[in-house]
Amino acid sequence: MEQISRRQMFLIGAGYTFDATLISLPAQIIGVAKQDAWMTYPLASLLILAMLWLLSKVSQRFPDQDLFEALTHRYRLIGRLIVCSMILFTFLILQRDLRMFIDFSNIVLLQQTPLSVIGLLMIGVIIPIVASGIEVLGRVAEIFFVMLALVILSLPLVLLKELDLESLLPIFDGGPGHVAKGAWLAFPYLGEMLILPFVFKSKTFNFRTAAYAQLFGSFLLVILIVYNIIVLGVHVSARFMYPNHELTRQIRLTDFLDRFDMILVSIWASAMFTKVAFSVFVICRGIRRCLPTVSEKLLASPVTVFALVCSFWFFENSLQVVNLNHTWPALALLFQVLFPVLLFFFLRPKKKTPAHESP
Amino acid sequence: MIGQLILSLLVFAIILMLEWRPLRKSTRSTRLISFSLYALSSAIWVWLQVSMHVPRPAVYLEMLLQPFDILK
Repeated sequence: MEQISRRQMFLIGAGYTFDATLISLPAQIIGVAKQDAWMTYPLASLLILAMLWLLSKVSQRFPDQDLFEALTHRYRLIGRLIVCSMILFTFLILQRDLRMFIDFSNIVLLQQTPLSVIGLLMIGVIIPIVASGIEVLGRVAEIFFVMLALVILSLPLVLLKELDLESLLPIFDGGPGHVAKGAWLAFPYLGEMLILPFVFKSKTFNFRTAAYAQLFGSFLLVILIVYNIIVLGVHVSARFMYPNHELTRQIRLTDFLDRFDMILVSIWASAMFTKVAFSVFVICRGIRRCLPTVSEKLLASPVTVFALVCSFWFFENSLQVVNLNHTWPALALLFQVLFPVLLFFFLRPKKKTPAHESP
Repeated sequence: MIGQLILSLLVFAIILMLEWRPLRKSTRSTRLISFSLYALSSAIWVWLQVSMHVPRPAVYLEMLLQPFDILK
């Protein structure tokens, strides 16, 4: 059985929180919460941390099993139904991410290339990562997420001359209700990492590491959204489809490197491949837990191809993907709040019957 | 329609050619799920290319969840 270290799980978790959230969501959050948008991520994180704590407690009850395995062993029918619904939810996340990734590449990088060709090129990268197993995925995250995080952390230095700190004021101009609405938009994206205990045993997954991953991913998002506000301004950044890309276009390192955004996009794309590959891995692992005779590595190709086709079927254009963000939290509430609470109360190991002592 | 059908069959054939050896060694359930997903993907792809008006699940999902949209 392949295992990854807690450090790798931290990087996968933080990347799962961060990589797709930064695409279009910040513009919508800034549109709702204005200059207080940076408060939305910490607020949403609090809810996710509470859910992570619940799931970590459930995970500790089954030390040798992940939650998919625990569910299918403990409740044969209902457990499988819950696993199937989690697979379906992850599949929705997967094909949404895939479509956002394809649209972004088409709009920003490859305007003349058909979407289907971009999609096929992408799955040509994703399939080998998943088919190589979780250890390879962990190592890919170790390289690319670390690079991405370093670049994001260095943004304050390279954008120093573009800052207008007054854009962050006045605080609570729209009232706390606006911040709460922004957090409502942010929580399903931040909560995607709640899938971790379903695929990792408690030996790999523990609350502290997962909480650090969640906080680190949110911290990077806060840096980006603060820089969106103070570099681009509230009104401008709320109107962009990809505000973070516009932000990176402001970076000009002296006269010899004025398209630094291309380097950043290439690093981000590599990290994004890890996120999409992890979603495919979760789906394959879930199917294997329901049908133990199935090979999860061989399922990587058909699941990825199916997700690609569904991403073209589900969404007519990139605007539909963005519009879904308004109603998506309601669906996420079911899987990211209700399910953890129910599992916390009802998923317990069978009580062992005391052995009769011989007279 | 025939062009799209040939294109999707071509992609399907290439994937099968690459995957055939490991698939042959795998269990029956793996093969069944793999072939079903490939066939379903091809069918959806051809349908998307041929049909003028395709019902989009995202639209229905949005309509279903509309009452919970607190931003409106």
